Amino acid sequence: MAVDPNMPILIVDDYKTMLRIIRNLLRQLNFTNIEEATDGSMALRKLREKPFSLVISDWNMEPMTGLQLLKEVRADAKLKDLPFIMITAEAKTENVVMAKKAGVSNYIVKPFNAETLKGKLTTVIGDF
Amino acid sequence: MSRDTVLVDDAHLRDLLTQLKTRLEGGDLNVEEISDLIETLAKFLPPGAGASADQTRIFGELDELSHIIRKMKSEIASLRPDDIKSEYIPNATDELDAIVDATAGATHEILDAMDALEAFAATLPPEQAEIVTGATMRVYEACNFQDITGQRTTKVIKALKSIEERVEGLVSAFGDEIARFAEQNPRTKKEAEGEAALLNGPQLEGKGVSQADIDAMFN
Repeated sequence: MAVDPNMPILIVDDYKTMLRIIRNLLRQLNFTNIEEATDGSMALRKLREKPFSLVISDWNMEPMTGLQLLKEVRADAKLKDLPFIMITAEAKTENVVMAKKAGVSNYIVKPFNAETLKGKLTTVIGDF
Repeated sequence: MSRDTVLVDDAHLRDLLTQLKTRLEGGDLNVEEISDLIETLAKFLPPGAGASADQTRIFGELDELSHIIRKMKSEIASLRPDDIKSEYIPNATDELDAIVDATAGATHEILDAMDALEAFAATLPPEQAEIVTGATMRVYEACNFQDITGQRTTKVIKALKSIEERVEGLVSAFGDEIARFAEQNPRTKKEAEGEAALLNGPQLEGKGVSQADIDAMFN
């Protein structure tokens, strides 16, 4: 099934510049329905308010980290199957292992390029 | 020394050692007091020929320990950790904060320009628009750097703050010694002269004159 470019995507980062970069890159990949959250708790609130098709989240945020957000999402019966991509500067093996254990769909290390983002999106949500 | 004096001194010594043990265990003993205590303890040893070989050795070691502590205190004071705490570390963190702010501001400017270019690309024929959007995408990718440099700088600031806490511990432990050293050794820092004295930039936000101030000087 083809990916709907109007699918709602939630991007989560405490760093406004990064939100803007990810939003613009997604827009260039033809995704138009993008919402933002600046930490895990705000993201969780938004996820429980309305349906999203994908979460792209940073790890290192306060007060709720991306990993905590991922765990909350996977523990929530309504959200547990939501595709979740982590985009982070945390590049140690144990981080990736921990995120995988918590159920992350894919993992992108910063700095990243549009090709990497496109490749991971294809792996997680299908061709577009 | 009479037998009575020895008994009193033994009780005093025991009391002193008990207090010392309690304070050492509780971490409630500052460096200033340690050498004083060692000197006090040394006084309990019989002087000269009355002392046994062991007592003479202990006395010698206590004396040496006291000397080492005094020397260490003086050397640490001469490093002026109060300057590190009050001047160098705050300056360094301010400069690093300024780097983060400046690069964040510049990145937003770049992104604004890219937004304008993208809007312009929408008005171009498809082939030309593709070239422009390809170029803007590369700029977005490159702007990743700001997040990474920001995070790295934040790590350095945290490390500096941790150093500052340790230096603060040194300053409070050696406060009297540092004050004495500072009084006996007034600053001899050679001030830059001539044109070299003018090289202090870049200034932090609000610390230098603004372009408007400069313009006013020319009007």
